[in-house]
Amino acid sequence: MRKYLSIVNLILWKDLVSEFREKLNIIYFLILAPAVSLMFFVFIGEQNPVHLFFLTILIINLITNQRISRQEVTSQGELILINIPFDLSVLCLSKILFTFLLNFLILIVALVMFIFLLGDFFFSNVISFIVFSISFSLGLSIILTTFSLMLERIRSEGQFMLIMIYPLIIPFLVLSYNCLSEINILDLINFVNTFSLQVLIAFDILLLAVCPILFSYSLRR
Amino acid sequence: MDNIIQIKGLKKSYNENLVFESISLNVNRNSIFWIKGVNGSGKSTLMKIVASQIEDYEGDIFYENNNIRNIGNEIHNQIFYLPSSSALYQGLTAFENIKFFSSIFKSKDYNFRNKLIKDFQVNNYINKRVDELSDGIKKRVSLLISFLIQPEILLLDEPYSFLDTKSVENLNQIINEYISNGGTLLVSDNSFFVERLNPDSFFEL
Repeated sequence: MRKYLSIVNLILWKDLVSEFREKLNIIYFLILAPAVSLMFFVFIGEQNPVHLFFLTILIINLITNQRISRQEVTSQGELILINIPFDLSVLCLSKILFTFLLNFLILIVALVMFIFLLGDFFFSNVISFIVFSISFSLGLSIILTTFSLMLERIRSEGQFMLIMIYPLIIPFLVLSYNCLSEINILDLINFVNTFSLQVLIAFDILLLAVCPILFSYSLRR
Repeated sequence: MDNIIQIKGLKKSYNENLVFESISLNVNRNSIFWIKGVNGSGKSTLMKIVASQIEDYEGDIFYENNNIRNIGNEIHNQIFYLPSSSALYQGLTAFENIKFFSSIFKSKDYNFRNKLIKDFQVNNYINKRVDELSDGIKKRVSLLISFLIQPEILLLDEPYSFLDTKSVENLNQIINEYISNGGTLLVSDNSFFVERLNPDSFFEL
């Protein structure tokens, strides 16, 4: 287990170095969130900031996560780490962690932009918001990372893989949206006891266990 | 000489397209084995199957009399496959790539690492990002990594592509050192540079 985690660490370090060394990447991450936030504020208005915020971070995450897995394959579509003497789930897990960190960073940048534009923190409970943010970022990271990694490798079956993502992403998004809507209605205790949040966390745990194994299995075929 | 790899009745298809069938061959320990064949004949596929990168095939492959299906991921400590394209991270420098793969494969022989850097003549490019390097240098760094991790069996897919004459000579010298130190090489390349290595045996697909 220690060896497995040390490899997860190594791959995570490699991603952090290669992604954040490039100034353009940093600018891309830091500009995209405020730009999308501003665009929604201008065109949709500020009547419902909570839902606007959800839409903003979802779109930014979808755009940003598309490119994360590209560096893992060669120009001929070979997975660079396919030779490693470990289960390939190690790659998936480390990419999930990296994407989670990135998604969380994006969420913070978007939040700062929203607070700046509204002049107020629009969530009544900070802890509820943090619980939601972690659950949402983690789930989205798992789904997007696993499928983007698999898509990069199994290009010929791309359409099939895209269809496979729907049964996972749709219930996840519905649950996330419901959770976010309940943050300003309920106090922390009641929020933690809501069906949406509990299912969302269960969904995260299930995905975290299943997706790396699914990834590893599919790539060896 | 004993067989380090035995292939029995190997058959591979992609969907309904047959790549090859009824392949049976033995690879001797501490030898150079040449896989020949025209483009599309399945040389790379055969190497990937031997390296356990593809598990969906018919037939059996034995590594030291153990079926590779039963060995698991540990097989990659013994058998390493280098594809024809460079398998490096573009956002890292050449040296960071070398360090990264050394750590993954627990290769801590720093003298050997420095020797390979010198032998492959990549000293001047070591701190440059991979996406700034030419295809020839990328290839040399990829080859360096595959020798650095010191696998028992090394599978090189078109190792001479992108290399100039001097680099080819260096590579052949490094291959001969690898064999003299007990390694086994499977090489797939149609170039006449393989003939200069005096392969011990060959198989034509």
